[in-house]
Amino acid sequence: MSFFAYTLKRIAYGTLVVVIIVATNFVIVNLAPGDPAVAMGGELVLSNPEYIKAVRERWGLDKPLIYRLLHYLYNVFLRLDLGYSYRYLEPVSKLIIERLPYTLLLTITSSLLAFALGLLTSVISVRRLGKTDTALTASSLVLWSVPVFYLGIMLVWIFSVNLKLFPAAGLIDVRNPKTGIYYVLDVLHHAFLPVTTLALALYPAYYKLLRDTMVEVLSEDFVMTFRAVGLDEGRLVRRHVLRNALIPAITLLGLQLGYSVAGAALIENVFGWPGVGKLLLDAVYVRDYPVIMGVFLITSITVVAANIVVDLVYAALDPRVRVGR
Amino acid sequence: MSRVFEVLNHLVGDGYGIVGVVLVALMVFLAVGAPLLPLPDPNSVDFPRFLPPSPEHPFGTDNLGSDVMSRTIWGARVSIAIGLGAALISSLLGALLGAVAGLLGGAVDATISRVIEIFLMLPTFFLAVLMAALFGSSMANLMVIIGITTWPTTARIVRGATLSVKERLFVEASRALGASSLLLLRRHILPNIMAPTISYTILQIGRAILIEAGLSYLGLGDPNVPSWGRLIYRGQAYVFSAWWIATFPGLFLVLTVLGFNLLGDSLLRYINPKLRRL
Repeated sequence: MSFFAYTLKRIAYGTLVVVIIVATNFVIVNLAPGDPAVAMGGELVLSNPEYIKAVRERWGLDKPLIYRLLHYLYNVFLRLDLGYSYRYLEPVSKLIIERLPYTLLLTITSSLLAFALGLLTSVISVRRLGKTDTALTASSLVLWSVPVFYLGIMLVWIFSVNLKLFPAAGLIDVRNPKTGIYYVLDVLHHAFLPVTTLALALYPAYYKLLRDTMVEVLSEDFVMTFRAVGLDEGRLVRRHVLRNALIPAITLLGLQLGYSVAGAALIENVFGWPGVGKLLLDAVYVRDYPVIMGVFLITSITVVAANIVVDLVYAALDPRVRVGR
Repeated sequence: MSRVFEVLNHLVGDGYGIVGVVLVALMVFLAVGAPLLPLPDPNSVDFPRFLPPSPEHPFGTDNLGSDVMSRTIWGARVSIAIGLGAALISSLLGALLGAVAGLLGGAVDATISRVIEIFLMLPTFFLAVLMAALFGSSMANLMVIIGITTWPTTARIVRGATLSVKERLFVEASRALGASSLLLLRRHILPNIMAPTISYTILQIGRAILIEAGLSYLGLGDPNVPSWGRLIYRGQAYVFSAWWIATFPGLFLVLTVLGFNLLGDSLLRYINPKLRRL
């Protein structure tokens, strides 16, 4: 199969997956107890007969479930209309787009940080097996078991409550608003703790993957050959062993970035960060169904897209993959 | 019986394994024995509010005047029960579908594999949030929700294990002698996939406890029982004035999850000696 044909096949499959996810999502919401009209249009429906009529017509709520599902898919995919939030009375797409930059600031920065930290510590681990390795491995195992929101709360307790180094919550200092470069610095100051928390939570996966792969590669024959001819150990790890271990780690990073749209929901909740994840959680509390479904849809699309990109990169690097499926 | 001894021997010899055993045993002991321990009533609100840790209240008291240590230990019951229940549902579902897919192959395998693939792409936690919000979050609901959002991990592993067992000569021979699929499943496949299934179930318990904690932290836990996630959720508001309310339940949560993770990892090393080098 040519690379082009493989690409088309993956994209077609990915689109199908997204449609299935949206449909499942729709059915879950509609199976839930309560009137779907209330779910779709919210409390306004109860008080405003004009609005109820508009909402019912727009979403075809008076029709059978299968018809409504098709109607919803039509609205979402062909008209790119995710509906209106009843809480904010604004289009769901607008709400998401407004919050996206703040979320991406957290998620992309912390994913890259976690990757870099994993790279650094795993090389140290492999270079000096023994006590350093044990300490690094043990600490990554502990971090792996800490719920991300608890980590956040503990960092707030240490760095905000006791050391008073960083603000505990929010995007900016609302009592002392700034402009220009000072606004940016203020946002970064507020982003420090959430980014650190998320990076620490994501880090163990990279460390474990890189370290374990490198230890495995170190036992291969070519390593023995290199050692036999007297290649410097540091150079061996950097140039040959690490390079072999990087591919799965970059895959993980790619998949991780797929979750960056709403993947920081718990952290955004801890730090009162006005991102997409917080939008979703607030929507859950007030049963703002259009927003819940919209965020879920966008998240699913990015996750599926990330999967496809990772697959394609693989296929480009290794032609055997294309034949495999 | 000698097999059990062998496993225990491995766990003791494997540094991380024994730590896992001790942590899990301790937490399960606290969870089971909570009613027998000399603790104040976890729901009592008779103590002064916001007392810092002291000899009478080693973990302090919370915003309602309850003893935090008592609530934390009783919380072990809820968190571990939900973790166990969810992991069992998830593993039974996963092992069943995985074994069926691996054993039958063909169209059945293709269908199940696609479902697994799609599920693995779903943002699991959000699906759980959505379902907990829509269908309510009693303890039983939470177990089912976490179970049906996490089964694909086990299913994929069991499917792989089944496929590799199926190829082995003794299974081939048994089939050649006319054994039915059901007999093959019962006599050859199941005994051989038990070990990985149990190991992953134990890892799944840790994961389920974390998911439940996340849901509870968001206010989507069972409001009638104090799980660790709910205790942290309550304590977060007071992190500036009373750090102990969230800190201690969280510490127990971390140790429990760590225990299950270490135990599960160690069992995987027992089954697959190749991993021991790492």
